[in-house]
Amino acid sequence: MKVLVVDDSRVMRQIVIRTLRQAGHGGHEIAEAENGRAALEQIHAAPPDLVLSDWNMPEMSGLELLDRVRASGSTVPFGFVTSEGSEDMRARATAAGATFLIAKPFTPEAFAEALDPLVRS
Amino acid sequence: MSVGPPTTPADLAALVEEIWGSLVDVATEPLVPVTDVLDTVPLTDPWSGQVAIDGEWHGVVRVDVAPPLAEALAARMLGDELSGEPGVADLEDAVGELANVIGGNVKSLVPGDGVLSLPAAGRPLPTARGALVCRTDHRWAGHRLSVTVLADVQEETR
Repeated sequence: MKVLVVDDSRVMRQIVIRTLRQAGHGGHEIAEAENGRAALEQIHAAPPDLVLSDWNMPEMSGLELLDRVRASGSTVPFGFVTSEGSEDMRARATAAGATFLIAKPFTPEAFAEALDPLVRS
Repeated sequence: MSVGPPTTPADLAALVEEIWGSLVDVATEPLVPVTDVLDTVPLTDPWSGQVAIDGEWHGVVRVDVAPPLAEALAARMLGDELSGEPGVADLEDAVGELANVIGGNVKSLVPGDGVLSLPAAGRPLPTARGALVCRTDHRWAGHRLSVTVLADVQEETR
């Protein structure tokens, strides 16, 4: 499975990748993008099997990225990994077509709970 | 006048401890709350990160980190990706992201939806001027971390 990790913070991308390993998902191919615009280009050029995206980013937010991905016809599973996990944001994420939202700080267990069903399906 | 305050010092300290524990291995080195007044004077020449929350509640969440602690934080966050010592961009990224995660969680405690800004980070980072809501001080491996929540922050100091 190819996982695209989108976050403007390099340190947070590394933490997400490390947490994937800790959650038992270390065998996936990992790609990285530092904002929504760069991610969109990668998604079109080499479609991933899962996108894990921050919400609040320069250039293009995670929500705008998801809107653009869905508008292009892609149904790639898309999860937010973000510092905000309010009910309002979860509702907006779901309405836009997100599969899940993991709020920071997160645990390997939260990643496993979100990703395991995707790998099994 | 802002609605608030969003959190108490005890709530904020618990939040900081949880977030720190998710970013840094605390199994062998816990984050210790600092209560001695002599240990809570403003840090000298810290690395600082800050995010603003704008909505029904207006405020700023700021972290000030002793330089050795900022280096340890960046090194722990980057893990195997880091070769050598963390550079300025790594330190700004690490401290800014710490502020971002704490700020995002504080935002979840304030009324209304609001918008969280992108983090600013630097050394020095201009100090925001506003009403002190609460502050918590901690020590990790002998080095200090201070987290401050301000309300009614003057626009030009954000």
